[in-house]
Amino acid sequence: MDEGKIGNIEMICLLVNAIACKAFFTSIAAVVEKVGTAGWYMTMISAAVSMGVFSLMYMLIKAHSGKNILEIYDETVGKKAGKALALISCLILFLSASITLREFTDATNVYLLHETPPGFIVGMFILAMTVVCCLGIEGLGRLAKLLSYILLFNFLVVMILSYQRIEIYRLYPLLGYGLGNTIKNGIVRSSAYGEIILAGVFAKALNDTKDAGKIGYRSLILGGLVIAIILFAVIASFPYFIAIELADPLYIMVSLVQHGRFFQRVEVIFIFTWNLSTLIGLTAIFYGAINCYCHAFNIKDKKPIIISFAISIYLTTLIIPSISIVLDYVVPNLRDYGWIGFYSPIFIAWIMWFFFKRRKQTYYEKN
Amino acid sequence: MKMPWDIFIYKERPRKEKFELLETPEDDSNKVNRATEPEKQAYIYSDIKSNLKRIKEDFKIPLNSDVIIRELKVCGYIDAFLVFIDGLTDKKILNEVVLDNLMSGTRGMDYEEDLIDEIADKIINVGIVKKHNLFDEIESMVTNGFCALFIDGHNKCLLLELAKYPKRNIEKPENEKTIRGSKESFVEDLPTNVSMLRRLFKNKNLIVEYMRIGAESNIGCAIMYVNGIINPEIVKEIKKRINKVKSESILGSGMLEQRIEDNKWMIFPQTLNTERPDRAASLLMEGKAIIMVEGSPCVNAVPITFFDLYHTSEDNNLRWYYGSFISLIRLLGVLMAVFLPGFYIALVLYSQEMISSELLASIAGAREGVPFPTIAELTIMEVAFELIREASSRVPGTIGETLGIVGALILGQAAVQAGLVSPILIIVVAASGISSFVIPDYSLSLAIRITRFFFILMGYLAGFYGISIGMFIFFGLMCSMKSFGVPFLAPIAPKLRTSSDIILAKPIDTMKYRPDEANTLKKQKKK
Repeated sequence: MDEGKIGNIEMICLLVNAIACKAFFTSIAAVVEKVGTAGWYMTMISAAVSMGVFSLMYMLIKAHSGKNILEIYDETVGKKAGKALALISCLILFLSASITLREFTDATNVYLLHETPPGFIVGMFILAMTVVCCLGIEGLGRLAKLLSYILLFNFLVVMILSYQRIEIYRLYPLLGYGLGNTIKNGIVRSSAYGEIILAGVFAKALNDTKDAGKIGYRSLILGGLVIAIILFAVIASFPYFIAIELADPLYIMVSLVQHGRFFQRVEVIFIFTWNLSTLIGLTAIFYGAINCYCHAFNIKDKKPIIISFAISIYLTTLIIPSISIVLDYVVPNLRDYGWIGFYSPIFIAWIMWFFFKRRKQTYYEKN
Repeated sequence: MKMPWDIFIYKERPRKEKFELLETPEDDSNKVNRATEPEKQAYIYSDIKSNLKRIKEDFKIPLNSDVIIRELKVCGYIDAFLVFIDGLTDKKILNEVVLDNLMSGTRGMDYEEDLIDEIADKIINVGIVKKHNLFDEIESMVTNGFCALFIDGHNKCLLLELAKYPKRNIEKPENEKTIRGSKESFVEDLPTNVSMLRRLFKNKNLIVEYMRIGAESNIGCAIMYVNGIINPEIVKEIKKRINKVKSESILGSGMLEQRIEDNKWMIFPQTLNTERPDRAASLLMEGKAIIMVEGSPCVNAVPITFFDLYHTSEDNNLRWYYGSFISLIRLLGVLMAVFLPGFYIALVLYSQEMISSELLASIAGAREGVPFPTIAELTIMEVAFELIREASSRVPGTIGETLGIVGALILGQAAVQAGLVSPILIIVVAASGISSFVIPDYSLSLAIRITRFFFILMGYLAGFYGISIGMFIFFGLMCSMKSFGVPFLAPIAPKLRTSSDIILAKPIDTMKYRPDEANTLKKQKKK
């Protein structure tokens, strides 16, 4: 399958959507529940932690020019262990896509398509992901960039139109449940930005793998800003006790917009922003999982794997019987422990490289 | 041997060779032509009887009654014959110049070296005279209006250009009308079309390369491009693709277009079809190649992007304010043509809460008593609209207009009064139908009309969610499409440097760059 190349902005659009799309769902309420009114800056702490981990990944990429993170795993820890690390990344990306898709399905079912079976919603979503994955990273990157400008515009329109409900006093107490609690949760919930590993997975699709650095930092900053703005708007729009109950607070916020007779119906704009952003983000994560799997088993033709992954994600998405299980167990566990799956392969590879390979590499380079 | 269980075993498919337009082109074109392939060469004989026999066999004479063989004697005693096609040659020049000079001008002539050369140099006063010794080549030239002269004892043949045949006069463009632009369009005659373009584009670097397409049809085609501007890889690729066409049934530019496009399964056109010489000239200036096919009043331009199909030749003729305004209206038209019916069905079936109460009451009131579900109502009206449009374009002019009025007004009104459809739906269908007329390119317009049905289906299946899914797939396919190696949505996806008149026009002196996606050799239009 022809992979093609994508530009830096295209990659940033992919990563920002992959990171920020989960802010449209239950994560917002979960953050407010954990840290209270401090949620909007807690996410910045999470972004900062992710930047630290990304810096380690970038060190590896810089030291192994022209290689993606999966090839670097092979080189630093050996072929077999590298395969295991690639499979860990594959698994966590697959789970992340599956769980976010389930959140999306339930939110769509509750707010938009009340009588449609979840299987149909998931099926249509996966069909679109499969078609676009078959086009390769080039098509996906271009699509992400094409739609991201429209989505950003829509997002800003929605945010600006929602200003009427914003009351700054709702941000108090500024420290939420306390600074210590905010920092602790900020560190633990850094898995919300775990999709940044895609910058390493797709590094070879860039014109120069060294560009992955600036792409990663910019994506984290932009993704963090989007999530922080959403959290800020939701916390300032709803009293604390309401905000923790809303499964899709942004949708509710948008549906309450009232600016005369014509501007009181902006849900349509939001539906497109919500759906398209999730489609781009989850397709990128899904494609990243396929890349990891194909690398682990040295498979060159991704198309049959895309189809089998599509069937697998359909099953895993629907296997959870109810929305309450998703909200109470699945999503909190992914957010609290997801960092193990996202970041541990990077830590292992970095430690092996730093303590055992770096000096040898420097010696070879000098001679 | 294939076993039944083989269908469950995955086999890797052979990779297709894909054309990619590279940044650093190499100019080593003009290599291969079908006519020069060694296995097809058959040389003419010195013996005139063998040549006559071969020509009669090849042209199926006497079964083929318009191929004329005129036997004569040159120098008073040497056997010779002329082959030409009745109706394709100028008989006046043939009788008064060629035959007269050959029969009386050569009487008693002393020739020192080669008689063929002497006749070409001293006897026949015709503009273009060629010499050939390959039967394939000679027969092809005869079918193009040349007259072939065979002389006994010589293994060369003289080809005299005497082509003259009835052709249509240059007329106003029918499909690409403009207010301020040129009022002439291409015709079916290839040399006339080439001359029209040469007249508009007076540049010594304008290259015209003639080729023949297909296995036996002998249809001529011309590739025109500006040397020094166009990326030579594009010309090379065009020739490669045209040479690969082995079909016997290429009778027009539309057929050739389908044979040489990048992806046959994509809904959007991958070449630009125009009947306007001024449009073709502006495309040449932008570093594109023009492919003209004999017998076709339209020419194809490659490589193209969506924005080439979106713009008209009028856009550059208007001041940038007016051009921008028209372009925005057109954009609105494109969006309405694609999405309006789909949005309507999504709103009515799934998201009624988003319609304001008054409008909702109005829609519900209008739908009261309509026996069909909304999807059936919408599909019937869309299909009826397409029927009216197709019927009015196939019947003679005045009847077509009447049919349009009868279909659109009387039938629509009657359908509403009979309670078969709601008036609001008539408005939706008519608005989307009218919007599709603003799309300047016929192929693009057809693609958008088909896409509309896809979005109706998606809206019906899952409302705005379905439309989002449809948009994702639709734009994804558009982003992955290429025309001769150039991304279809360039310069937006991928973002490239351009004169930034993608949708909105800019003052004419700011538009100094050629489209970056074509990788032209000269990037700037002026220094």
